[in-house]
Amino acid sequence: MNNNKWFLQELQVLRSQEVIDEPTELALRKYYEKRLAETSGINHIMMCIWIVGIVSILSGIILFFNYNWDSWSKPVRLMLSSIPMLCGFALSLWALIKGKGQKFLEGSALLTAGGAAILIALISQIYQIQGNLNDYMTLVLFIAIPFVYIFNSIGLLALYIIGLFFTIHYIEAKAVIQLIQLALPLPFFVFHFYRRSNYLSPLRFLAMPLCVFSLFIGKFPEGPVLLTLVIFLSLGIQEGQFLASSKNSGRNPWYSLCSLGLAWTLIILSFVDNDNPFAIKGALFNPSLLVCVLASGLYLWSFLARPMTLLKWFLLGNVLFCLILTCLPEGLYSCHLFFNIPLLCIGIALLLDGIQKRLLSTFNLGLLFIIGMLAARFFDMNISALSRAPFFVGFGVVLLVGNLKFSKYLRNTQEAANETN
Amino acid sequence: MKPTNKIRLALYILAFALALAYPVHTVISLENEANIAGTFMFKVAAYDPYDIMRGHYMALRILPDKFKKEDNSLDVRKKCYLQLGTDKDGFAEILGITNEKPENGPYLALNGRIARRSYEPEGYFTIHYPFSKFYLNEKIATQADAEVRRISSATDSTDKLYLQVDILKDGNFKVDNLYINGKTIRQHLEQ
Repeated sequence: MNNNKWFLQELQVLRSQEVIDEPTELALRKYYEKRLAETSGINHIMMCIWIVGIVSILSGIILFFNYNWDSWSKPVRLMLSSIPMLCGFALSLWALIKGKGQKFLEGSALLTAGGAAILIALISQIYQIQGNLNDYMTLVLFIAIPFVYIFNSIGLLALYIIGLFFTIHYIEAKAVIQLIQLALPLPFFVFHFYRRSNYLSPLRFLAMPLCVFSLFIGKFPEGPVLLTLVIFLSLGIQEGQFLASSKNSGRNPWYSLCSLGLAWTLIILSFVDNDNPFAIKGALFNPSLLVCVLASGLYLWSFLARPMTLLKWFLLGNVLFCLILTCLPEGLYSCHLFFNIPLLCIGIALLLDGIQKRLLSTFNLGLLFIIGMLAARFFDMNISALSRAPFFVGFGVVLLVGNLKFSKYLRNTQEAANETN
Repeated sequence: MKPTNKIRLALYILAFALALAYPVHTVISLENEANIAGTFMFKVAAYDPYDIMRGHYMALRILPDKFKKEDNSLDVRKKCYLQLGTDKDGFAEILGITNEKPENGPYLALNGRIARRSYEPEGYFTIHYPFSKFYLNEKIATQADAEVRRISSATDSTDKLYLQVDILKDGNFKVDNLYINGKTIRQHLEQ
C-alpha cells in the first residue's frame, strides 16, 4: 500500500482516539491527499508504458535493419552502425552545454558507451572478424570507463562491473589487464564513500560483485580463490553486523548475501574429503593470491577498527582455520568435518546478535547456518548412520532443553518487570 | 556554461575521439589493400546453427585442419604462426607451424587455437581456424544451409565450395565471402 494512503487511513484512527484534534486532521488530510494525487500509481504505469512503447519501436527498427542488412553496401552498413554512437555524442553535447540534470548525463554516458560497443560489434560482423568475447569486452570496458567519470554515471558503472565478468577466461585470461580494469573504478568508490554522496547505497551493492570478480583474475587456481572468497564473505558479515545495528539489515546488501554465501561455502567444504581446498602450492605468483593478501589486509583492518563482538571472534577463528589449512602438506587433508564448528559457532553468534539487537533477519540467518549444518550432516555419507543417529537425538534434546530454560527465563524476567511496575 | 561542464565537455570530446579511434583504425586497416599479404581459398564443410544473439551463421569446418610437423616441436600454449601457401588446385595449404613469427610470406597468427590430440598419431596438430563462422541473412540461411550440406556431403560433387579469406601482413585476417563455383553464396542461390 502507498504510504500516503496508509497515513490517510491512519488519520481516522488517530482522530477517533483523540491523539490529534480536528484542525490538525484536516490540515494533514489536505496535505497528504495532495501528495497522494502526485505520487499516484497512474503516473508510474504511464511512465512504464512509455518506456515499453519506445523500446518496442526501437526493437522493431533493429529487426527491420537486421532483415535487410545484407542488401546494403558496406559504407551504408558502417554508417548505420555508427548512428547510436553519434546519437550519444549529440545527446552528450546537448546535456553538457545546456547544463542538464543527472538523468540526461546518465543517458549520455550509457548511449555513448553502448553506441561504441555496438559499432565495434557491427564492424566485426561486417568484416566477419571473429574475436572472442573476453577480448571484445576488455576493449569495450576500456572505452566505457572514462564516461563513468566524466558523467559521474552510476548506471554505466553498474554495467561496467557486470561487463568485467565477461572478461573471465580459464585459458586466455590476461591477468595484468584484468587487474587494471579492477582498479579503474576504485577511485569512483573512494570518492563517493569519502564524500558520503547519494551513491553510497548503490555503491554498497556494487562493491560485492567487484570483490567477487577479483577472485577470477588470471587463471584463478582453486586454493587462493576459495580462501579469498571465505575472507571476503567474512568481511561482508563483519562489516554488515555493524551497519545492520544502526539500520534495518534488509537494506544492507552485504549482510544477508555474505551470510548465505559463507554458510553455503562452509557446507560444501564440509563435504570435501580428500583434496585440500585451500592448497596454494604452485600458485604463489598468481594474481589471485595477491588479491587474497589484499583481502586479508582489509579484513584485519576491519577487525581492528570495529568494536569486539562474539561474531567477530568466531569469524576470525574461521579465517585463521582456513589460513592454517593452506600450509597443510599434500595428502594430509582430512579436516572437512571441522567446518561444522564454524558453521555452528557463527550460527549461534548470529542468533544471539539477532536476539540482542531485535533483528529478525539476523536471527533467521543464524538459524540458517545451524539448519544448513544439520541438513548437510544428515545427508553426509562419509559418517555412518549409527554415528549420526545419537548426534541428532542429542542435539535435538539440547535444543529442546535450552528452549525450555530460555522460555522460563523470559517468563521470570517478564514477571519481575511487571512486579516492578 | 558552467566551468565544470566546460572541463567535462573537453574531456568528453577527448574520450569520444579515443573511443572512435579503434573502430576507425580497424576499418582503415581492413580496407587498405596494401595491408593484404595474400588471398586464400579454404575448402569447407559446413552446417547451419542459430545463435540467439547474432542470428544465423554457417559453422564451418575449415580445411586443412590437420598438420603433421616432422620435428614435433611446438608449444601450443604460446602464440602460433601458420604459414600458408597454395596447392595445385588453388586452395590454401599449410606450409608450416612455428612459435616464431615468420620473416616473410603470408601467415596467420593464432592464439590457443592449435591442439595436440592424444588419439592422433605423433606429430599431428589440429587447427581451429578463427574464421569458422560465416554470418548469413535469414532470407537465405535455410537455402544456403541445404545447398552447402548437399555439396559437402556428396562424394562425387564437382562443385567447388570455399571460403575466401584475405590474410593481412600482421597475421590478421578478413573474410571476403563464401563461394560456390566462383560465385558468392548469395549470387549462387539467386541464379
